[in-house]
Amino acid sequence: MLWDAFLQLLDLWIVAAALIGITTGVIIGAIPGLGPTMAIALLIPVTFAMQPVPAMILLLGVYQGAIFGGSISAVLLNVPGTPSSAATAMDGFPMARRGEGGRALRLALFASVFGNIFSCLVLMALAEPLARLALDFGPAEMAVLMLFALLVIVLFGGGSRLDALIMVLVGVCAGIVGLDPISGTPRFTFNSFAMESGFQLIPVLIGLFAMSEVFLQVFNRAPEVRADVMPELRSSHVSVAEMWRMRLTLLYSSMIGTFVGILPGIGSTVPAFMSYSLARSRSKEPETFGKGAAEGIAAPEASNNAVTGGALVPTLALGIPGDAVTAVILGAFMLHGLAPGPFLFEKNGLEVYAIFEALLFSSIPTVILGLLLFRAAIHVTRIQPRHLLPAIAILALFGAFSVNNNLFDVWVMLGAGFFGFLFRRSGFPLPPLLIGLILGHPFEQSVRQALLTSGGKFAIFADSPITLILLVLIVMSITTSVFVYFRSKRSGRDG
Amino acid sequence: MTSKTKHFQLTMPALTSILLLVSSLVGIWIADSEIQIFSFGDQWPDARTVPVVVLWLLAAISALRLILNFGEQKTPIGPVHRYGQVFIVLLAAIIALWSMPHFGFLPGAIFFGIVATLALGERRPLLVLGLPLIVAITVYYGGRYGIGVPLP
Repeated sequence: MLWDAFLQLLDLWIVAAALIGITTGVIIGAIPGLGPTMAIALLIPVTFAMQPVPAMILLLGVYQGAIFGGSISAVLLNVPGTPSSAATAMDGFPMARRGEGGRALRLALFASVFGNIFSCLVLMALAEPLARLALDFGPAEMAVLMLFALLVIVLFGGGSRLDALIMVLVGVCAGIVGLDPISGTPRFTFNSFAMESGFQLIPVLIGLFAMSEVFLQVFNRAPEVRADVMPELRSSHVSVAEMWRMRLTLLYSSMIGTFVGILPGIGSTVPAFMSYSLARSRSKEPETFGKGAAEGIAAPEASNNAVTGGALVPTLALGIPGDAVTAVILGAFMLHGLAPGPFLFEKNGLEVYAIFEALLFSSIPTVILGLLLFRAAIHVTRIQPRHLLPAIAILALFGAFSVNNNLFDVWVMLGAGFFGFLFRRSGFPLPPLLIGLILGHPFEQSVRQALLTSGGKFAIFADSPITLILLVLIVMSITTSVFVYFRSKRSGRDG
Repeated sequence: MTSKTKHFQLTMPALTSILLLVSSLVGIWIADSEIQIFSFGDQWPDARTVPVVVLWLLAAISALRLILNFGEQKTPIGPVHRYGQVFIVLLAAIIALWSMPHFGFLPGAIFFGIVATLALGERRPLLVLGLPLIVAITVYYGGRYGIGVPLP
């Protein structure tokens, strides 16, 4: 299987897709405010005419490239291109101000590649066994698993738990519109035929992540990026010996990134800060952190890139996205006929392994392109939002239309964009909404199927060892969350 | 001595919570008419059960959010004229979408792009007109002939 998958990669189009994806990702990631989620959402329509494997390699290349690209503006401008690069800026920017911007970016690049390789290996090792395990799951098991995923997003996604819960419920409500999954009855369609298909994922997420950004920037009017703020980029290098000295930091950080990435809804910002804190506590010179310490750059970068592979484990094996980006990738997989879930490896094993191997091998072009694109990316970071966002707005119109070739989806995108703007202005998080939208429909279907087969008895949800384990995990998650809440409250009072 | 009395101030989170509370209550109110149940024997839970439960939960938690954060002043609503600009962009998008079946994608997208550029603060005529024009033409011809999307 692995060899056959590798042979699939020996195609000029696939190599071109990987190169274009990584380059686009690095450039988009470098622009403050444009994250991989928006980039992938807008690029999905571009891949419609492509075969599934090169299309997914292109989009995953954008994902990988954008996570690293985010560190470029973090290091050079102290403005994280992606939220997960905020931890990188803490030491990257001071190092750049010392005139070692090139060294900081090289450290970030090599650490990113290390994190990526580690998480890809874990992805290859875990995804298929997990999918095989999930083949034994019935509706009750799937329902409890999805409840666990939604709960983790609410409890550990960061920020206010109440706001996250509201957003999950808004997502589930949005998923209700359309035909009932069991009886086919129209629900909240207001006698509109177009609404019977419900709100499609891609237009909603283009609205939430791209159009809402346009509205938000119109409201906020972001300050201009001043070229004189940027430190000079002198030539520098990072030796193999220096990276070797950081091997344990890189390994721990990659482990944190990968395994936190597997948990739904947490994203890459939390593990980046966790790895930064761990690296500082393990360091013999913790006082250098915050002043340009090499490990302060390597740890968060390895960690936030390792999230890529980790988040893809539940996305591909169970159809449960780990964060907003993987929710978009899940949508792209579905559009290309590769339905994520337990049957993915049975039906499309060869294609999936080809994509995994491409992710692994793309580390080579990432290093080459990353080194080549440093200087070009400096110019990219100077692009003003007012010149970029109109283009994003037009691309959003096109992207939403192209999913089903109808204008109804564009109206949906526009509505999602406006509500996304209101939610973001209010400080409500968007990823729980997206994951609620994706999981709401299958969750309801599983719950109702389980209850219909059991004659309405809730005991079916505690009937098998799998559901019992998941219920124990749910109780443990709630207990941990309550404990963390009271401890942070107490330390806040003491401090 | 400082007074600890909290006064209700309409903030963005409070406004959004009120919006969600009202929407969910309206949803519950119209659930019976918007979800027809054709019963073929005892089939609980039916198509209405989950939506109604979720809407009640959303209403309850939105109300709880309002009560718990009563007096919170973290995110004020902000200047009204800025919302005016957002509404102008939204209105431009609505006009562009409404006009697309009649005049096609290209004029609508160019119009929307120009309004968005102006609302974002660009005033140089070359960029206000040129940028949306170039992007819309590239997207239209690239999408129509490159990817094969039948844009109106």
